[in-house]
Amino acid sequence: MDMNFQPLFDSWFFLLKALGTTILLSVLSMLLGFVVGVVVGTLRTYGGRLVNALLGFYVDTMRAIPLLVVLVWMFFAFPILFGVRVDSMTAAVVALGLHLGAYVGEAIRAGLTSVRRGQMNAALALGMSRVQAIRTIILPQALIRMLPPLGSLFTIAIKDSAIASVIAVPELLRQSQTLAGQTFRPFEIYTSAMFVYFLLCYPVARGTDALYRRLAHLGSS
Amino acid sequence: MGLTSVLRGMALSAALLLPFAASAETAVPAPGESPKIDQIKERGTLLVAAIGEFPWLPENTTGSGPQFSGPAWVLAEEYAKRLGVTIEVVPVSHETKVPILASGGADISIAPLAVTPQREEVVDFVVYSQSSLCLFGKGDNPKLANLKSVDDLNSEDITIAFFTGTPPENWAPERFPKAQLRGVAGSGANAPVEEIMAGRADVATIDYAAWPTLAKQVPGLISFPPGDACLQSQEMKTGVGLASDKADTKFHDWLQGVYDEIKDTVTAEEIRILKG
Repeated sequence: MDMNFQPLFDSWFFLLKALGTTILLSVLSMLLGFVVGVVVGTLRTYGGRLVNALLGFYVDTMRAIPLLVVLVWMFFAFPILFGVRVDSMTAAVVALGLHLGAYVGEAIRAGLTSVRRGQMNAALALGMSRVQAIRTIILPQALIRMLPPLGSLFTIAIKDSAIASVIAVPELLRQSQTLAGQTFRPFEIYTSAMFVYFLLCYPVARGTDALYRRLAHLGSS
Repeated sequence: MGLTSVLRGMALSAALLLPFAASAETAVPAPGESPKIDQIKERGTLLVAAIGEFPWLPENTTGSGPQFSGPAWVLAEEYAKRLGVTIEVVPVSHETKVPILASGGADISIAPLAVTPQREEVVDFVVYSQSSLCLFGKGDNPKLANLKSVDDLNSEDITIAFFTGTPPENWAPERFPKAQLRGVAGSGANAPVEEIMAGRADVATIDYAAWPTLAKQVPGLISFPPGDACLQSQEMKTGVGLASDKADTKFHDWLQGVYDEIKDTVTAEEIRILKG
């Protein structure tokens, strides 16, 4: 099989910038997803039936609609509906973040409900408010327990960033497509891109596992 | 007859047209005449939807320097200069290069677009080039061994691949009613080379201008029409241009007028890209 990796070496800086965009997109969408997820998960656990139902609708909607559809809708339909111009990077961050937030919310809710109810009762008995108890007693323990599923979700977020190539965010997959299109060397370029994604995701997955092993005792009750 | 002859023909056309270039500059519509131009001037930027495609809008993949070159870029720069604004590139994919105009995400789409009746229903074109198609496949494919012409590909045991959402999707069923057709999602490439290399299709469509580069980069491929005849293919001969939304005809008229003034420069840039 004839292989030629020269196009990769010739365009290393082009691909490096694309990798930077992938990392930026992943980090921003993870941040947004985490913030949304903590709010949603906490409110669903402690917010009462009405709040639980409303936010449950958001979670079920995001889980029922493919990420690609959410992404394309955010890029095309949202500007038409609301009369605002949305660039591809912003659309990607918001779509990925909101989609991820639903799954993070469920992981957060599972973590919060896994902490024994006695912890909350004890905190309230000591004179803490509910907000104080959640913030200082319940959430820290719950977050440690959530590390394994959160690690999985963040790894998925990095991989999902590649879907943003559909709306032409200049991330790694999209720029790899551009390079493959101009050089007609798809095997070399896509294999290299796959390897880079592995190098991004593997440390995240192993890292969160290692972190959980170190902190697991702090999350037990 | 080959690429050199094609380039000579284009250069001769450009030289013949030069004396007839309009001496008066196309006036920018006055405020209030074109809502799109008023919007561009107020914003201070010309939003151009772009995706690289050889030879009309090659993308610079070195990571430094201007992002694009080619005849479409020359036009975009001229439009921005005359409006007194800067260019802002809006990256698009093959799926989004036309719909972005309707959503207001771009003022013009300089992604090279083949003129088709379906596209003409939703956008206005400024045609600055021509294109035609060749088909290519592996030279060692036994199914292609005895085939000599494009007509020979119209056979039940031949699978033809093309990108969905592109003009061959409408052209191929009429041109090859007997063949198996395989539409695949655009990969950003000029042609679905992966379908041929993976053996999922026997032949695939490609712009004639991109064939020489493909033949050089991927040895062992053959074309239909064969060899240099591909460069003068008449298959799906169509105009190639940039697009604007249908809503503002004054804007389109101005775009067309500017192109008419500088068409020799635009053609010269295409020749430079093809030669390089």
